[in-house]
Amino acid sequence: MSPPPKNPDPERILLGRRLMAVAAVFLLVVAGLMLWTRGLLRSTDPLHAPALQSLMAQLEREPGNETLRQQVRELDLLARRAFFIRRGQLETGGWLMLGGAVVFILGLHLSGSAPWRMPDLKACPGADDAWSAAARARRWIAGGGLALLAGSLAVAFWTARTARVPAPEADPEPAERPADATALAVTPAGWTDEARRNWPSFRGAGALGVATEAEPPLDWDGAEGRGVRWKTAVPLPGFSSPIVWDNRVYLTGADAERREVYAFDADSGELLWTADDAGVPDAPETPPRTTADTGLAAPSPATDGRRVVAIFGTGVVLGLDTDGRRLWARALPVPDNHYGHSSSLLLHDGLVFVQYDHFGGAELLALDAETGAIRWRRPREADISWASPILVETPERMTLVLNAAPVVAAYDARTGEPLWSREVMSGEIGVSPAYAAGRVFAANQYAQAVALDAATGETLWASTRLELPDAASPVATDEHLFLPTAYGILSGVDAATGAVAWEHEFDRGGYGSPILVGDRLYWVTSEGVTRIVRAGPEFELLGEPALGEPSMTTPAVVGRRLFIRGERRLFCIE
Amino acid sequence: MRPRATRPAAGARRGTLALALLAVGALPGVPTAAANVQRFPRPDFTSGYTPPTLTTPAPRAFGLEVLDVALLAAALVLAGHLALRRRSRKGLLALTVACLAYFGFVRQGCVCPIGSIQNVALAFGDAGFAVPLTVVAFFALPLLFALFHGRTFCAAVCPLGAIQEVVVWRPRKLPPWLNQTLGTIPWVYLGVALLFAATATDFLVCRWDPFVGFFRFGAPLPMALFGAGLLVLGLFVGRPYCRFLCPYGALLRVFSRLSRRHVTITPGSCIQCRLCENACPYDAIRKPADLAPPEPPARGARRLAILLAAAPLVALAAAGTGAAFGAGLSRANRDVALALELHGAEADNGAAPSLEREAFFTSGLPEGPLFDRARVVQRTFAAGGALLGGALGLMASAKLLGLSVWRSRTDYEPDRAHCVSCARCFSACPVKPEPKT
Repeated sequence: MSPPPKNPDPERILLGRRLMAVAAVFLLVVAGLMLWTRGLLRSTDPLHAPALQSLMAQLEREPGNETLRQQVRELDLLARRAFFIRRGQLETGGWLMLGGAVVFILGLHLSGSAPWRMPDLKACPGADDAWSAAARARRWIAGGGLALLAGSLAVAFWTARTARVPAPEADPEPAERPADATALAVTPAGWTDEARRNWPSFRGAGALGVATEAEPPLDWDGAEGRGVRWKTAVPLPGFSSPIVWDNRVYLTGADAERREVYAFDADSGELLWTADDAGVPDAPETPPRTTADTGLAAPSPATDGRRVVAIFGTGVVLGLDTDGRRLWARALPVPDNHYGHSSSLLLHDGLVFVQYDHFGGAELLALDAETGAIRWRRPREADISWASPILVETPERMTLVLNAAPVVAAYDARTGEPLWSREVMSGEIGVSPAYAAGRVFAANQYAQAVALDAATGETLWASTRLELPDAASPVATDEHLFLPTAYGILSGVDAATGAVAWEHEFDRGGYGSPILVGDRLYWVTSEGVTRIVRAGPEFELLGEPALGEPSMTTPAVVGRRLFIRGERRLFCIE
Repeated sequence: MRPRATRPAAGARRGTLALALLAVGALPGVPTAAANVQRFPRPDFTSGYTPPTLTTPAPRAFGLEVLDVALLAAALVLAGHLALRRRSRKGLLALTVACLAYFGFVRQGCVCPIGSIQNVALAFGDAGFAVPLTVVAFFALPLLFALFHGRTFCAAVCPLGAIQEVVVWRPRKLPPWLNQTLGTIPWVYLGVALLFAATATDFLVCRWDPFVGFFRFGAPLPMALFGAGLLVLGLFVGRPYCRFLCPYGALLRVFSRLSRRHVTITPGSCIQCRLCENACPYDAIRKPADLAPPEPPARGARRLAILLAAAPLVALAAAGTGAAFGAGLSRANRDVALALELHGAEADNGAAPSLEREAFFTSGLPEGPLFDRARVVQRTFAAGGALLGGALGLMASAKLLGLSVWRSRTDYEPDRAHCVSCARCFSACPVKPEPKT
């Protein structure tokens, strides 16, 4: 039999406690200092120190200033050194904490770790409260289990709707075409009625050049003011075409100093607001060189009635609300383009589509319309191009179709997934595709005109014997494809076979594209004359009203109004 | 009377201990075969700038991993020897410090058997994940040794247990009902951790390891505070993490119950002197209990019948709840979270995009496969949640049944499930080992 265990003597306990107290104070002080250092470390970012940023900005303006460059280097070194010194201090603090902890534990053991205590001999061990403790534990475990169950159920109920990843949507049944489909049945499907009624982008909804519910006039005279509701000077020049939503007309303009977006009152022509591209991070200090017939504001803006997006020849994309407040801005790489960037934007279902084919690389981007974040991007096996994308609805999905050399390519508009591509183009492509009745049409001067199956990309016909467009884009009905040229020839082609139905040569052509309104084509040629032609199997000229000033753009049409950008002014014809 | 343990010669004892400690202590000096790994091509500097040498270490050499396993096995053997045969608290404490130094500070808490649960679970959940054999060994060895020696791994080998062991100062006895109730938490933690690991969602046990930050001299502030809080609590409540959180401890409890041998409080026969009653800082000593239960047998039998009948219903209800809860829990999975964010973004473009969302869009990857993966993970979570719920329901019933059965006891005994074989109670026993005949 051994004697009962002894606890340490009082002097040892006292020594231990003193050691513990000293070590505890030491640990607390070191811990406080470490927290303070940690806070400093988190609050200072050596790579983004304001002084350094300021000097670097100055260096960008004065790249040849070697003294400034040296200052930047020294400051950068100082900032980094300070950062790593603090990191070192934290590490040293860790070792000090370890040392303090060892002393603390030593004191703890000297003072008697888990000392032996005499049991309460009054209580009988066999009759302790083990059974009542078990009963109590049962109640607690049962209660805790029920609480866990109830809590889990509540959370499950609460998150039932928001926590489920949605099941894939079933493919919609292909819509049957009405038996009596005519030219008037060509509609930019997949768009809301509101979008169809308005003119949300270059060549309207989907950039197909089709207006379904409009009745613009046949006659006006811009010089005399006949039929002109209003005409307003556009502050800066540009070749972008107007877009319209409700009572707002949006347009862009640019020169070497400024790039601007304008909103005009559709009723009065009053300039409501101007937004510019100032202060966009990573935007080029100096705009890229462009030719006079392209400039920096050739791409047209786009809108969905809530947001207006615009791109300039600098690669800057702006997202604005309808009051001109900037929602976001981002600078794409400066387009390496010998004429200037001219591909217009499309905005659909919260995504802004950018066809960005330049010498620096070809890609298709989808930006988040609300934030400007890249939702997806697709590198493209394509050369530089100036064409704009179109958005069509095939039975399976909304499909983006892009024309460029050497491929006409289709992409799923939601995911960017490439669907098909056909190597049918060559040369400098500036002509956007057209679409009707399941057929995609692409054509370009020095290449050919082709009709492709919109769902599969299969070539339906191809022809080199047509008068091929070079800048203006074609428009199609179910029966016919209409091809405009810059030198003035407008052709009607059988959409099913590619056979020429008719050709007519006007005095002048232009860069503006014809639009289809009902059974009429409206084509504004370069001298500012609108050629109104019957969109049918035979050529029939319905009118040639003049604007009174040259125009190189595509008109927008909403209701009874036609909006045409002239060389200096924006016209509302009614 | 219990047979007396054989006592080796004192010199041999000291020699064994010294060799083990020497081996452990010498390890930091072992050179590592770390090789630099070039992950990305370097830019072509034309200014004459010489890039610094990369210091990214290669994975730990296989030989060193095997050495870790060998050391673990050696430490387990030594711990068993010190606890069961030598009954040496000092030896165990020395081993504790050595293992804390090596498995904690030198190996920085990784690999450890507690975290290895997740590697094994992931290997079951993802056929493409090959769990290294050394990790399997880390997972299995302490469990295997528990079948022979009880929780000797907890006694002196586990660095998480060790760091708590050395700070026990004035431990308070917790009410038995509180001990029992809090003791169920590790099972819930284990279940959730297995579910997360099997779905490749997260290694929760490692992410929420409270002490690994100390071993690595760096931790996120909340984790550092959590770990420090547990250590301060550990001054007064012995080993709070081991007893009320450790998921591996939950497994060890089961294996330890079945152990062939286990430490005993007395080296001989219990003389019921009661001196050991307060000796355990972890409330793992069971007192003698009467032969007859303190309530009429009919009442106890009725309770047992009700609990038995309710057990399947409880399991079913818990399984259903677990299945429903699983979908919500799956939000922790990065694929599910991203898919939900993308889906939410479609519904409301006003949400500020996360870095993950931005990166996904920038990558140009299609959404379809992501949504498919997310749905698979959600289904797995639902199934796993049902399984987990059902298992927890059954365990709760088993626990309630266990608490409803009266067990008579004649001696003071360590609770095999909860005793960590720390040998603190040995010195409280006045009985001397009987000489070997």
